[in-house]
Amino acid sequence: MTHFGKLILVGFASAAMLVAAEPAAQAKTIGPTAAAIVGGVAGLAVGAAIADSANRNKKKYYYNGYQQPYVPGQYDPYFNQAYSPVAGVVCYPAQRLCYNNGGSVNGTWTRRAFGY
Amino acid sequence: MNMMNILRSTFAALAIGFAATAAHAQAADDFRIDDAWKAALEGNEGILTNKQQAVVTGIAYAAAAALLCDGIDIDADKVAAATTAVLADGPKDLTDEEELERYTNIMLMAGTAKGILLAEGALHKADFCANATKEKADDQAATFWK
Repeated sequence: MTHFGKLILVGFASAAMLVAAEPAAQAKTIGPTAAAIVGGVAGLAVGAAIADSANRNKKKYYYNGYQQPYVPGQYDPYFNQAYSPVAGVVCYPAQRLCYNNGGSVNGTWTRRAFGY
Repeated sequence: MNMMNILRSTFAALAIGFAATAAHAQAADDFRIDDAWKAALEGNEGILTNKQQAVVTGIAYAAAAALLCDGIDIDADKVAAATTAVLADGPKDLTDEEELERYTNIMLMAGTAKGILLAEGALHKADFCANATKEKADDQAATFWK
């Protein structure tokens, strides 16, 4: 399978997984044989990814230029960093999310703080 | 009231004030499931850039709100475009196997974030949905909803 083919398949699968609240009409466009092949490839990758996520020292695909923002073994202080850009909003850099007081996600401040 | 009593009262008032401030800061965090977020993110640090991670959690938030809140629907086209952009913009020197594993890890990360946000939202659904609805009504907000 080509790189592009995989990208499309995985992109399609991700979107389908995330928007599962929508009617699954798009999922019907893939035939049973193709689905089985994709399922086999994806199944191997899922197994590897799950195993890999449990092994925190074995990543081969960091983005270019990535530098670990915390001392190895000292994730907690990094994770627990928080700041308040305005009263009533708290942003968590490790999580790239901002919350309102009371706990609701504040999407507006999340986008403003983390740039998308 | 002598000077000592005035000082004691002042210190007591200050202590109460500090305690209230700390309690307020704590209250801001009441519904965030910290341990789940920490477990989910720690092993995945560095797979995505800050912006990509924000996009993934943004999609997860949008998907969680669409499931929990009436009147909020996901925009599948926007999600697909954003997801494909994140997947496509990775390291260039990966083997096919590593590349597929990276894609899958990102998908799992997105699904995990969606699950945690669903749980957080469900803990205080009215407030969660009120905020999402307010955001959706804001024309300036770039969301993943229709």
